[in-house]
Amino acid sequence: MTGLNQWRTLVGRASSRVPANRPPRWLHAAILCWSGASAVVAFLPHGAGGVPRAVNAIVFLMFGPGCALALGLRRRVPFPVVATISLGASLPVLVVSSQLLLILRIWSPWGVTALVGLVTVGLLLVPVRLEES
Amino acid sequence: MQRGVFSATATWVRPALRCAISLGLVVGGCVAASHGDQGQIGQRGLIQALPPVFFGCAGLLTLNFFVELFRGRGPNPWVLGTAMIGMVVLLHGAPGFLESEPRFPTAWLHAGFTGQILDHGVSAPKVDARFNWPGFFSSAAAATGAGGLTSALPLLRWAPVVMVLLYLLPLHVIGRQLTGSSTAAWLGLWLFLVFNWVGQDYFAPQSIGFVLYLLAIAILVTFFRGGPQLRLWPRKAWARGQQAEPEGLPDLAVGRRLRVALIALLILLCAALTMTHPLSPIMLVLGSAALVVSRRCRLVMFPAIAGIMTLGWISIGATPYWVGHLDTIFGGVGHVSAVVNNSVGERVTGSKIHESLVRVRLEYTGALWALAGVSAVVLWARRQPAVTLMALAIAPFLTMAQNYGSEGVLRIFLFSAPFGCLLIAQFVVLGLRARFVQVVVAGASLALIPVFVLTRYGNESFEQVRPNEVEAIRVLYSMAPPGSNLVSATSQLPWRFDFATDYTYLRPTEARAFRRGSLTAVRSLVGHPRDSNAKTYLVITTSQRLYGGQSLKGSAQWLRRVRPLLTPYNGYHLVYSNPDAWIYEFEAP
Repeated sequence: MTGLNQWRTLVGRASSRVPANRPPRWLHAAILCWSGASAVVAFLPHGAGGVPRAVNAIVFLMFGPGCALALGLRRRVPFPVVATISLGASLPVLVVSSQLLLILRIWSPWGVTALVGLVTVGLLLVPVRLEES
Repeated sequence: MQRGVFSATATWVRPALRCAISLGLVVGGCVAASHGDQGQIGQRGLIQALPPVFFGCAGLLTLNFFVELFRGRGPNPWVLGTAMIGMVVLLHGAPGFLESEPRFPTAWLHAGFTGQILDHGVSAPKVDARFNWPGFFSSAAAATGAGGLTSALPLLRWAPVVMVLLYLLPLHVIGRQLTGSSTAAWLGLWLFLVFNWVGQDYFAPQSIGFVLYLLAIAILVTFFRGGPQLRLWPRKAWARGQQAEPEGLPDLAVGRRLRVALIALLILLCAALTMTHPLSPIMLVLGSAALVVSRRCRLVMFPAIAGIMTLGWISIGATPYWVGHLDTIFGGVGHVSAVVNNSVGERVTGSKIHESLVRVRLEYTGALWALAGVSAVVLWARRQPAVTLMALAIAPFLTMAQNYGSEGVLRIFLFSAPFGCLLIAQFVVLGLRARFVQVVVAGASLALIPVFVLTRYGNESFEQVRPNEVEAIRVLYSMAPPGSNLVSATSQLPWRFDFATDYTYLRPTEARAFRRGSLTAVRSLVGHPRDSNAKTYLVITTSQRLYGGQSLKGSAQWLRRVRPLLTPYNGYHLVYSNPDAWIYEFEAP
């Protein structure tokens, strides 16, 4: 019980260093790594990586930019609305990126993944200060 | 301190237990479905093959959901959400657990279109009209390729489950916002789950189009209903419009920058929609216009912007489609009776069992619309008019002005049903405190489960894909040189999942006469093909035999009439057969 309390205190201290509206840095870092890893994995030849690679590609392409956006919005609007806006950003980013490369005749799976990854990173790194102070 | 710990424990133990019960029921239902016998699927569809345990699990899951929903102290969203997701997995995943191949030949065709972009990096708009709206196919190809898969076929089996789950998220937000009641929102979602029999959630552009449509509507009704109208340019004071007092919850208050970002997001959604599916952006134009007309949308220019984007894509991106097909696009304008006849009249045909199934579907559809209408009237009479929901439910009917082929009314139902279900839910919630109403609602929901399975999977005898049929098509691809004419007697054939653009895929020139057993039609299978040196192959399968027998007018026993005519004397040589498929090489006699 004492150990648990100590752990809670540590977590509380760590959390208190993060301003209320700013998501924890480790989440930022995790999504950045996820974007980079997904783009790199998309270069691998067919068949490599098996089911985990397939699931990751689908999840990243469908929800990657949304996760980045959700980090910025999570304290501003209720959770279901955050999820809806995030999904509403993720799916069009995938469709429009893919379509753009198709129109330019430079379509490739890793190209689309890289573009979606860039948008994800952009949504993370560009300060999401949409709310007026 | 100890009492506090116990009470805190008690607050999460009960919901956790209820979630665990839901999970257990879902696992039980899935295991039961996977033990069903695919061979038992008959003229009434999947309902004949699913074991009773499956329905028991689905029923108990329904009860678990409604017991939580009717709790006086506020239902727990985690318990409701778990039961809802479980129900989606059970109802939309059942064929995936039971059948050995992913269902529905059209989904296989779309996997082939995805493969075309994956293999060649370009779409082929001159080969098929659907390539003029390649947003879905190129996105699916990106996911397939980035995931290391060589074909999109592995995605087909679980696509309906994923798509329906994606529908539910924006629909919950819409329901919560417009009804102002969490209970009504959850009930509306549940009703939509069991009423949505049209099966437009498979691996297809319209499914993602519907998700994008719901997302756009969710953003519009959550942030842009109340307050002064937002225009692109200032208007004179006397013409300034003020929105009506919106029903349900007030708009979420956000700052100016976030509002601008949301408008940009709406335009991005609209852009994605225009590239994905021909009908969905028109639905968005109509839906948002209905909101503006009913003074439930501040973005008065949004329908115009969406309309311009839609027309822009058709004019530039879909040129190969409309050049030479203007009559197809505009020829049916105003012919409402033709639309109804195409979508409804021509479907009430086939065998007696199939005809009765179609009638059940029509009555099911009519019941939803009638209940929604009654709910709207009662809410209006009680001075709680659900104007936004009514506008969104009615707007899709305006597409009847244009003939969209045999699936027009199905699409109208798909786009109108969610809002109809929310209307019914809002009406039901008025009297939900009475125990009697609770029992009726839970009982009706239980009764709707088998009705859903019957209406949704009633065509499963010919919409399932048999392993032998796939095997035959693979053999066909291995023996037919590229450029050959491949002929199918009916539409129910899982082909083009590979080499979608490498062959000429055809139907018999005189398909009806062919099925009637006309010797002339049989002997001139494809008339005068463009390449007279190309080989021609005819494929006949069990699914085609059943489809013709059950669903097509005057085609019962068609294969019995046609098979004896497929002889070397008439130009046919059997080159491959298995218990479910026959391939003939054809050379005009």
